[in-house]
Amino acid sequence: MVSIFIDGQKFDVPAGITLAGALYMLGKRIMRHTPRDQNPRSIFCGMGVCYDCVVVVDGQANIRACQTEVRPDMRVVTQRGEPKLEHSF
Amino acid sequence: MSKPELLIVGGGPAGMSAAIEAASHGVRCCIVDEGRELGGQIYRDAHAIEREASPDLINPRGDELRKQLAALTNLIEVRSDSMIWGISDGNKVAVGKEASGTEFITPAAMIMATGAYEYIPPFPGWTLPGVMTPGSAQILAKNLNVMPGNRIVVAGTGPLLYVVASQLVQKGINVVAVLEATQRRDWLKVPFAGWQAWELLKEGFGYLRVLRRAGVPVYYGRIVTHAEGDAELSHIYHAPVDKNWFPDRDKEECLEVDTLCIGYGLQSRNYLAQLAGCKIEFDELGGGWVLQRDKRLRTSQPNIYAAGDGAGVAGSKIAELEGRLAGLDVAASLGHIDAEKLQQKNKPLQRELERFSSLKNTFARLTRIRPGLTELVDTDTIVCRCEEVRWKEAKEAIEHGGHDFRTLKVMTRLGMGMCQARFCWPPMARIVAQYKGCDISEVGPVRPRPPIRPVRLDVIAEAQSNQTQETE
Repeated sequence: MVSIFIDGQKFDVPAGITLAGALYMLGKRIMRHTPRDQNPRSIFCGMGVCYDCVVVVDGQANIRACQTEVRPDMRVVTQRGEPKLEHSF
Repeated sequence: MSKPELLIVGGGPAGMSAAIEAASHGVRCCIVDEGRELGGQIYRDAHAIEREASPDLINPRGDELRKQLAALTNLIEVRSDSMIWGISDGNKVAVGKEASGTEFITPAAMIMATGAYEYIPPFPGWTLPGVMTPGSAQILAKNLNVMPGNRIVVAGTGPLLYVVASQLVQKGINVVAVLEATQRRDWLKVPFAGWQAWELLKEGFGYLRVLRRAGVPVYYGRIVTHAEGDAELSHIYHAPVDKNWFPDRDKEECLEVDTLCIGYGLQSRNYLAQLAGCKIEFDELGGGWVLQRDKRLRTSQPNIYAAGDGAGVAGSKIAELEGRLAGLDVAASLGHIDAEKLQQKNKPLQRELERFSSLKNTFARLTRIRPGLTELVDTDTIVCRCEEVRWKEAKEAIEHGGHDFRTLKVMTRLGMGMCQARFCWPPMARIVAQYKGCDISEVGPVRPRPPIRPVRLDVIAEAQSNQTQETE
């Protein structure tokens, strides 16, 4: 198991799982809210093409949860609207 | 390892076979793949967590290919977790990781084995959490042992629906129904048309048997017209369709579900080949805009080949055979084998390819996109998921003269987002053509420009400055 932080809360998830898998497993289907209409989104294509499941990972925005493997102490923030500029670099 | 002669883009069945064939004749190859392990989407089961998740559902073919490839590691370099975001000067390929470290590779030949992704037309409610592609549900359930939902409907068209629905059943998930757009009488033609590809038919019947034993109803000639839910999916509505897939709204029925897996077949991924200057054409039976190729699988660009679903959707068996044919041709063109050996090796592969062509063509005709699907959009339906462009906005732009990708993009932001129009434009091109009553070739495809993947500017800048230093 690997410990990760999602929106500040600590969770233990299986090693080797993708972030999208971990979020889904924890019942957190809503992975972000869109910039324009604040609509909820989740995993859609599951294979890295659609960029719907993007989250902030260790301060970096727009990371595809479906393509990212969990790492110990990874800090994940579900995106709300346009990601902050400090998350873009 | 020294500089590769052959760059293979994609590590699925086509890419792996191409590398195995080329390397077995002495060609130095490099495979670039986005996944963490080789196998592509279809043989995604090499990682430890995937092997443990569903040992009974692992396709042995993926392991066989990976094993053959491992035996040739002195000639095959594998770059996993990597993407290609650009190509210039014909063969200068920018290979990088998501956040850093772009390198330029200049191979003598390239094989595009970029695979395919699912086609989903916009319909009301399709952006709700809980609506996903069948492939997505497969990855969650089969590969990661995560249940995508408790009440699932699998809908759309094509063989993948039955693969995924049966696997979900085997993982103990409640599949409420399978809704197949194509009529049952059309599906009944499949065994007659595809008898030569008996092993694929057998596989297909196996999936149907799992569904029948579990009591999962398969309804033919029905499509999902819309989905509903507050923050997440809660209901779907489905209706019977005519032969052009126009739904009979008076006969609409509702199902309470938490997950909808929906996909209307596959479409080729060919942005990179287009960026390299390879010509494309619209092929209704190949899954949309596909690369032009000659009999030797060469694209319109010298020394660039295309194999597998990325060149036109045809399935994993054909992908493997095409990969081998392309790998063989590259070996000959780079002087590793002579014309006689090429001929001798080529013939049995061509014959085997012929064996699968009838079934492929039948599937392609059965699952081709019919016009009724394009009319599911409502005024407020999102047609571009990334930029949240609604149909009313797109429609207004079309009425003001926007009818190709570029114009509509400038007018509405459609296609400007992170997926780079991969999901919105293929169905939108059909919608525009139908709305204006013109041919889809007049509406046209996306003309991709670099970077064909979202890359941070500092990554591009760093790559360019390293490049300049090298030249200096």
